[in-house]
Amino acid sequence: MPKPYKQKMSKTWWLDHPAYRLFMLRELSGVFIAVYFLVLVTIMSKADTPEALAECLASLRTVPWYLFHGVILVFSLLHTVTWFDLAPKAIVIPLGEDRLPGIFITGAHYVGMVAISLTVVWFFGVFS
Amino acid sequence: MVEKTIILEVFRYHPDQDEEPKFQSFEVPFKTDWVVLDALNHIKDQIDGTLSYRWSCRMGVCGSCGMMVNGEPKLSCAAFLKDYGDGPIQVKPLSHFPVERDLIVVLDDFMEKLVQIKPYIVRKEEKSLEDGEYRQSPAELARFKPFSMCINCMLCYSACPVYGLEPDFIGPAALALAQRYNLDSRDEGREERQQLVASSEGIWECTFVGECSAVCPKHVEPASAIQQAKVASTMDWFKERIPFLAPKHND
Repeated sequence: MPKPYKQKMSKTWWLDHPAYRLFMLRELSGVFIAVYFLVLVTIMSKADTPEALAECLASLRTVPWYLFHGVILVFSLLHTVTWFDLAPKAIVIPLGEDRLPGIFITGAHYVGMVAISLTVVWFFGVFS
Repeated sequence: MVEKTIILEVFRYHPDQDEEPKFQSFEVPFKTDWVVLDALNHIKDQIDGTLSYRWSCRMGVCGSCGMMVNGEPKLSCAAFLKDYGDGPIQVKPLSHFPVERDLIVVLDDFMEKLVQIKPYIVRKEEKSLEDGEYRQSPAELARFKPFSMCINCMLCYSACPVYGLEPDFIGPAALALAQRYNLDSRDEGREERQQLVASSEGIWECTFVGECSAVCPKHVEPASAIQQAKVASTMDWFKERIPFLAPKHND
């Protein structure tokens, strides 16, 4: 009985192809966003008075925290762009024999993101 | 004038003689209209008749000649030598599959999964011939037609790291075919397929790397089929819990 050779997958398979690297960065971006969420929740739990909030915000005005937020911003943008670009693969809106072009679905995601962001900012009274 | 040549580094494995595979270099004529399959045929006919690989139509239809060409899953009948510069060109069997011999992989796992998803029209009750044909509008056909172009070449399985890491994963082509039949207006088998499609070995194993779609020679977009199936399964979950979303039964 011939024995088939079992091909092995390298532990660094995700370095082998640009698409895999981008995928891993997209997955990793979720970790950064989760960490940012924890920081945000910590600030919200501690800043129960305007003075405490001001103190918290002042403590964030240091170089390491600026770097931290810069990295979070880059990964958040990466996650947003790569994920919204993939949205037309998951959402198909048939128009007779054609389908709504993907650019409209991706565009709708960006419009929704801006609308929700503005609503949150408005809710916390930034515009008042 | 000296004929231009190119080197092919070919994966060799003989199950009765080798413990480990090795690469063997072959110098073949470089012709601008030659594809990798032509070079392999030249090796088999002129240099080493023991080289083993699958091929049939030479025109990107049969799906037999899938291989890793310089690390990318390709139909070797569609991979032109001229696209690889001066070489060398490395040719390996499709990734993630056991190797039977040289460039031939074992297909059993894929074939078993393909059968399990019932890639055919399932009817709860067949119409009699007198009742006529199952009619379908062009719009209904357009919903699933791209997913029906699959030639079972398995390049998508080789490009999918999830299949490599989790061999139980049903995989891109089989799931795309399941979605193809689920979207067919003549089909009534979605419920039967759903047990496997929506299982942990099915669509939820997919992490949306997307390379299955990128390498597909027929632009089937298995990644899209799987994500659409995830959306449909999620809608099922809501329909089961929110009464006014539930489908109305006339019986």
